[in-house]
Amino acid sequence: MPDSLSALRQEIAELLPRLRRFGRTLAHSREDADDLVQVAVEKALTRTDQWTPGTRLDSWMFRIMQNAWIDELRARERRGQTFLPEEEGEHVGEGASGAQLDAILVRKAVAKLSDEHRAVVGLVLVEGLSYQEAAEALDVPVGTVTSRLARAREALQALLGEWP
Amino acid sequence: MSRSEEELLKVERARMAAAFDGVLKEPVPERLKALLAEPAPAAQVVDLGAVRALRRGMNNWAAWGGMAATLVLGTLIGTRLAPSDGDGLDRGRLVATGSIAHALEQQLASANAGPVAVQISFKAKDGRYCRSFTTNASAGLACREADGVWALQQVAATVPSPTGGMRQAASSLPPAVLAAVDASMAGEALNAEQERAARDGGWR
Repeated sequence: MPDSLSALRQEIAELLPRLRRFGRTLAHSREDADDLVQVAVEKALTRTDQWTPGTRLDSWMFRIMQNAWIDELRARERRGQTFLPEEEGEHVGEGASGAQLDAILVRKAVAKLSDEHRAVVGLVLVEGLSYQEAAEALDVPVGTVTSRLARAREALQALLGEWP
Repeated sequence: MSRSEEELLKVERARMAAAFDGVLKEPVPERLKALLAEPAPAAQVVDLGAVRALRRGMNNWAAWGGMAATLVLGTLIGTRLAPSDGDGLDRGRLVATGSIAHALEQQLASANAGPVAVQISFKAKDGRYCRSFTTNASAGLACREADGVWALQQVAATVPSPTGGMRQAASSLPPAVLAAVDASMAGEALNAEQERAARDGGWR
């Protein structure tokens, strides 16, 4: 079915900006995030038969990304690589507005969350998925999403003070 | 979800969106767009993601395989020291010869069938074209010089695969070679089309 494959390709291409954004919530650097998107797209293209038309393509892609990220973290662990969030290469210049500063603080706080917490924050708070959709993307029960998000929000509050 | 809970979530989402939405306005990198371009990329086009993923885990290994190893191993795989022609520029330069040189000059990554496989082709920071290659027992990176020879930048021994097949995947390149690729690559690896164009243009 070259036509539907071609259409799927096009739809994934349109999702790229959002996949990159989700990557930024999961990974610790821009480059890691884009590498993750690349791996996920490659994986998706090799298993297009597993995609059910009519279901949410973004959730399917997020799920592939999340699984690829877990694989990557495990591989790093096996290699014994100590892995610390790198400092964001951003400089808060004198011209930085309050909003820009807040954005940086929020990203830094998210980077300090655990991998599990970052995934639910990325899906529910950044990507705007429902709890149910996030649960499907993460392959966990809805209750797990609810409790992880609650803990993630507490952690964010602790890091950011007044939250939201 | 209670009403106030719902409102709180809305506010949090807005704050999160403000923090992460910048990426939505950035241009999507070519390498990601290329994955979804028509026609489908050839299967053997380099998996740069795998290369990068591997390379990231190998920073501690980057120092491995320095010049001494290069010299020793370089001679193992059928290379020679180019004779110094007196201008000094060639002194100490290791160049590929024989089947490796031939593959570097002619072979496309999508057509790896001979004794040598070529994986990544890219333009180096100094403007030269460079290509990674593997044989049954070695892997390396060579860059094409203005005089038409392929100068070896890094060579490492590899374990021959039990099946006798070639190690063709870029992800199976040894750390030292990946580190050399990473250190010299100017932008992205060439895609299949760019690779062909570069070859047809004589790597100039």
